[in-house]
Amino acid sequence: MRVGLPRGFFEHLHGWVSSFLRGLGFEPVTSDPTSRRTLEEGFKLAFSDTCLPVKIYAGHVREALERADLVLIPRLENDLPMWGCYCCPKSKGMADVARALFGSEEVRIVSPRGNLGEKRGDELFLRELAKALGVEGSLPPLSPLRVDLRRRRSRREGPFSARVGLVGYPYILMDEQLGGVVFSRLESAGAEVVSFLDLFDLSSAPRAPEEVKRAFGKPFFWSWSNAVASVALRMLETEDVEAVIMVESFACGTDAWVGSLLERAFAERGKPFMQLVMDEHTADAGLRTRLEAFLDMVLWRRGGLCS
Amino acid sequence: MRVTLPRMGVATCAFKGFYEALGFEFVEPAPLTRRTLDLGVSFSPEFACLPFKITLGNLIETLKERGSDVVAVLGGVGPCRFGYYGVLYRKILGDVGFRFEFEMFDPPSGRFENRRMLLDILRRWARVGGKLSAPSRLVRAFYLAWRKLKAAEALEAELLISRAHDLKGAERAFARALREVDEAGGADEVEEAARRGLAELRAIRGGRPRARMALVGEIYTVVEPFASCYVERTLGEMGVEVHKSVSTSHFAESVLFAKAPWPLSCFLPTCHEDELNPFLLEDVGGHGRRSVAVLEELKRDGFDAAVHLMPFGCMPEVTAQLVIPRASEAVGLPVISLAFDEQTSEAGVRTRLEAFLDMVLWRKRRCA
Repeated sequence: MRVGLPRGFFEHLHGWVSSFLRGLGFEPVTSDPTSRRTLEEGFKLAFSDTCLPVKIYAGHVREALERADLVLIPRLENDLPMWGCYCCPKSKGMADVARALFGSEEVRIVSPRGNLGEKRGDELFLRELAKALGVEGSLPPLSPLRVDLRRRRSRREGPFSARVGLVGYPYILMDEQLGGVVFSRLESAGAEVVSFLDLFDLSSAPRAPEEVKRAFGKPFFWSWSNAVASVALRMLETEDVEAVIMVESFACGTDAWVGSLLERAFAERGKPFMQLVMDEHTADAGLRTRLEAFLDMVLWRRGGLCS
Repeated sequence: MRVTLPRMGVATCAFKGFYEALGFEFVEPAPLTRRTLDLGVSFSPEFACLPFKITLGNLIETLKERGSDVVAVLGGVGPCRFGYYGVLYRKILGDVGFRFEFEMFDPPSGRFENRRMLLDILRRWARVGGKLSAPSRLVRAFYLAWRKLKAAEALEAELLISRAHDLKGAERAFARALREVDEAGGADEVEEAARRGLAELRAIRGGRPRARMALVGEIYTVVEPFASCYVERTLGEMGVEVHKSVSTSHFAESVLFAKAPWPLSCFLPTCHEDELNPFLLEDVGGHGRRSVAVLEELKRDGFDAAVHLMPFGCMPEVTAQLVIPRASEAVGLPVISLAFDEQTSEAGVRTRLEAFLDMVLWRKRRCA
């Protein structure tokens, strides 16, 4: 039996979940990277005022439903091992939203509960998953949580004009139509990109809320916001990264707070920071212009352009 | 010592009662106008939610025109963004150049506790109120504020019904009664003022209304008429009786007090919030799940329709919004979702409500 894994919100768990599914005798099937078609399907389904990632996720769920017998949309209180924090409310309610959007298909949606922020949360989630799939009896070994972020290999060899940090939620940075575009535009403009995907480290994730609390006075409620902010704050400290770009999605609730607080922190220290808001209308030319202008400014600050 | 906080519908008078009974001088927050919103928008992050923009603008206006030593706000534990408002108020107001002491009430346990802040607050209250009498004064202040809140909300609930029958008369009676509640110095006076006001408002009621609608959704847009471009008033003008399904006291009872640590929990009024529904199982924060769950209850209570109010980009409510069409169909209650931001105009909202009402009346006739 094939179990579909839609890309998007919970993509970072796919590697971990896939190997467990294979152990159970299921065949995991991942939806294709986001394309124009995914986007269009998504907009048709989720027509309301919601954010871009929800629309994209809806498109991926549609594709997974076409390809597989069952589709996994977890109900996770928290999708990172970070005690007391939450998923963003939209991804938390995604299983119910999908049930509402796909009507009669809902019987094929498998949505086990879990909270990876709790002790032994990973193990409990896998047990729930097996139960939701109707597996009884002994289970294959329950491997500890693994987070796979798809890193990008740079296709260019140096020399580079500048080293730029790229931060944002993994479902945005890993998406071909969002972060992927920014990544390749920056590279073709001659910059070396250090991304959140390279620097995120699962073992240090539980400490991220404390780092955020030290900087802003209160940790964020959302686990990925804490992870992203702590990496961005580390980029602020290091000389290695000259400027940071945060890729956000239109109408993202959490980024309104994270982005504006980071912007303040960077402005205080005089390091360039740009919030790049992506939506379904983002055009390539506009994006390229903004990125080039930003890079020019970084170089100009260093004196590279004037000399 | 002078204290202020952002305006929040009729609950403002309860906060005022509380701080005045503690011995503070309460700085009445500035009225909410277009300028409040413009100020708020120009200092807020672009995608901050509307309640943040309004309350920030309100604080700026109040601090600029009237000044205050203390700014008090509620905190929270998420996942709704509301709990983080305080952190940004403090930074933004500080950048604008205001100097003040800051009170943010975070729950005293869990990941987001802030014991030092809580101790500071209690110490300040004791300093203002006199050390020895502090605990009893605190209890008295809380009791008075609670009575005021309940009275003001009861008056408002009655206003929303009687407005459908006589708009001007109802608003006049309500304004007078609310002022009396606001000025009352003791719980007995509050009760008396509320009783008089309620009797006066009830006398206005007459005949059957054209329709009965309920407001569901995000608490600030429901509680503060300014945030929803005065939806409740527009509906009243059209002859619709309105009921609000969330209120400040309900929020306090079901969320704030329900989670209070022992032994405080024994003394606080609480209510059990039944949010369970087959459409949205997850708690998505705020009142998201309640917005969906309450539809069935409203249908049972004979409402003709519900108006779902939310700020644009509200994370809990936008999730509910995607589920509501399905719930609405299953329950058999028409629902219209209205998202508000600084671009929303009263005329646009009115047009949509008129069309919605026409449809509801048509449906009512057909079903009758």
